[in-house]
Amino acid sequence: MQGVELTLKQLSGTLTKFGVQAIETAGQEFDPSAHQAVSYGPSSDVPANSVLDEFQKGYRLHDRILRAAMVSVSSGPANPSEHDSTTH
Amino acid sequence: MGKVIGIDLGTTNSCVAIMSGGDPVVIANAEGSRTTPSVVAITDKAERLVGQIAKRQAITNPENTIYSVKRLMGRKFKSREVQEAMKRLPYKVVEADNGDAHVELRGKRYSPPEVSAMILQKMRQTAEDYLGEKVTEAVVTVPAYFDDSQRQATKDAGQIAGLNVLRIINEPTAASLAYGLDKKKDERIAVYDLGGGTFDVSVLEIGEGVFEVKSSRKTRASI
Repeated sequence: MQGVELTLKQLSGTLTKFGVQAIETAGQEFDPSAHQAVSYGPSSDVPANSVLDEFQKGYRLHDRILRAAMVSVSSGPANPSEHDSTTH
Repeated sequence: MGKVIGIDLGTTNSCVAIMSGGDPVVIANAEGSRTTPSVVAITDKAERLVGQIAKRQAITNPENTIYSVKRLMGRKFKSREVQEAMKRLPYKVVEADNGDAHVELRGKRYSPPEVSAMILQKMRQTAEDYLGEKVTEAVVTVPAYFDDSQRQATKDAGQIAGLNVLRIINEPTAASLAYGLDKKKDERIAVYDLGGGTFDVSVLEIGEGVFEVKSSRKTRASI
């Protein structure tokens, strides 16, 4: 297992050295210039228009998009009145 | 005279090319792609998106993301094709004062040529970035079965995009020319065009360098 982790570290390090960076998706606002939305649906804890899940990693080469990250996007709570945890 | 660009304004994807040293060269866009999705969108922040970026956010903004606008070009709202297309299109198609089919995005109405012009503008920009000079003249292809109003709508789209459309050429004819069929003997050929939005078949007769479309039909290739 350690061997696999070390290999991954080496690979990631090499990519970074050449200017390849993975695209941030967790907790980010959906950005079509870097993310590709493949699913759109309600979520009680992720705000509307933010990334829910990542299906495939996306990468940037310097300032250009190599491949957009495949994500699902939240459309907000399904029914705001259902959640008595909301304070307003 | 500046360079003349050739544009394939497709139902699903568009492509731009130029002649370089006697050979056609397809130009890659800013995203590095040789084709550009024929998609236009307006976000809730009133930002206009064209191409791949518009396609990426399509499912989060279906009512304000226009695709397959080519199906509405030069058509009347009450026509069978528009009424059928409306059943599948998530965006609003409305009737303009003159009876044409228009689309409505975030409360504002656009004619299909206006939407197509946004795509042509991106294709023009792609060419200008590659050539490093302004482009004002283009040749645009249309399906062989396009009627006069559809061809005129395509020319109008070019004009709105700031392009002088020198010629409107039939797609199967362009394909035949690219294949070099005009150099061979006189013959009758069939051109099968399995595109992203439609599947078109045309029968052409080539004689003394003249291409005559004998028949052309289309059917839906995708939703």
